[in-house]
Amino acid sequence: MKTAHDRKKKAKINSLLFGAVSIGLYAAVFKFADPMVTLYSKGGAYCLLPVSTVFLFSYVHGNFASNVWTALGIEASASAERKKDAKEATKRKDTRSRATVNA
Amino acid sequence: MHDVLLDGSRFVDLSLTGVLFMFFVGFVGGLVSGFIGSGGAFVLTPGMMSLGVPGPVAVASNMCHKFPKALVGALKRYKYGQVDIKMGLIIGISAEVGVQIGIQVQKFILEMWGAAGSNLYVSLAFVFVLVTVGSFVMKDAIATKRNGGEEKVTDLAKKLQSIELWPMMTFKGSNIRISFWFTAPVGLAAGLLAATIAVGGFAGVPGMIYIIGMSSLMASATELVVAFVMGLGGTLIWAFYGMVDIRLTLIILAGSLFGVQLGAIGTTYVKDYVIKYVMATIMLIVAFSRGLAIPKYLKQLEVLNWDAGLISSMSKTSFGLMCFALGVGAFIILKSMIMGRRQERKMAMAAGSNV
Repeated sequence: MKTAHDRKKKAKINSLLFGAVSIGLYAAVFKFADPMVTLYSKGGAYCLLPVSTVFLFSYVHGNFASNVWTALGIEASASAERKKDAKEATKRKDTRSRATVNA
Repeated sequence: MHDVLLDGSRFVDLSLTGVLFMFFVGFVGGLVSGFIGSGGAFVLTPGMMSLGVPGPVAVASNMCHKFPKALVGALKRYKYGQVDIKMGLIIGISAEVGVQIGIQVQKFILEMWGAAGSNLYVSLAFVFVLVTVGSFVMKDAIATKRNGGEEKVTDLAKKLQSIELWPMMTFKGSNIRISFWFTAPVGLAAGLLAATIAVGGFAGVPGMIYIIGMSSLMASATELVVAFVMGLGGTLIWAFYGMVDIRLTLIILAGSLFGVQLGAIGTTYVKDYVIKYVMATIMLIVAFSRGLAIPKYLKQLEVLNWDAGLISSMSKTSFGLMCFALGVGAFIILKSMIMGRRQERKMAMAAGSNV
């Protein structure tokens, strides 16, 4: 099991990586803001452009934000993690043999 | 058809103050959404409009940021075992139907009584629904706190769960078995409210708690799935007509993805009734704020003849109160989270010293 220190260390590296990509993406958007706004507002099949763009940003920027909170030590309550582990631990495959009727 | 709408004038120039304002409101709105499952839209849309963004672009850009934010929040809360995906999808699809009905109602009112009539209808819906539901949720939150903080399934939900009406559905996530005919109306109501006041969660979350019988924690997390389904559908429609200003969407998203994850983390430190408490507080302040906007529309319809200066200051106060509602919600969340963390640390230290 990873300690809080290990998680923080990993999160710091990840936040730097995702942060750099996120900043790059935002810089690109604002550098090419005018052509982007024009292209994205064409409508019709172009409606997929804003949708796919926000999916990309939510992955990159979402991971950046998540790692920043972890790196700062802001994580879910330990009791929430315990509850979840307990829930998962209770899930057991029923492998008992059963009587079946073959026609 | 969309080519008709292609006109650059609807996209505003952005100032640094405007960008910072949207980032900050995005963060606070995200924090509240991550915690109670919805919220933020009621400030963001008028906030963008106050920066000169036309109404449809503000609604479209706000909706385009809503579904990725809800996705990130739902994934985070899923990790904590709080999301019922099946319930979220079923209510989300029912809500899409509700949105379509709500749009038809809005169109009818707009044709009959014009823009002022439509605005008056929206404000009256805001006040009526939020005061009714908000007071009920607040009363329940106070009662739950007094009884030790443990939530109980309502008698109505127990009764509905006991009725065997085809098709019955089993929701393993929330451990509930209930007929489709009792879940669909919750989605319809959420969709109707979303098409009217843009915050469907104010009907969806209480509906899931009091009618279906989910816990506040599960209902608020599942609402994020509903928001994702509704937001994605709505965005595709708005984007089809070329109404999304991607710059505005991405600025709000930059703040809200930080906020929504912090809000999700916050839910692990609080008892369920705190979610109800935050939701009810926001609902009641927002209802009061929208009440202050009603005289403006009554004057436009020539029903009232109040002084223009007074009506203008009431409208400004109304927007200020909406921001205040969001601020109060964020304050309660952060305070509860800080106190929860402090308590956990104390317990961990005490456990350490006992070893």
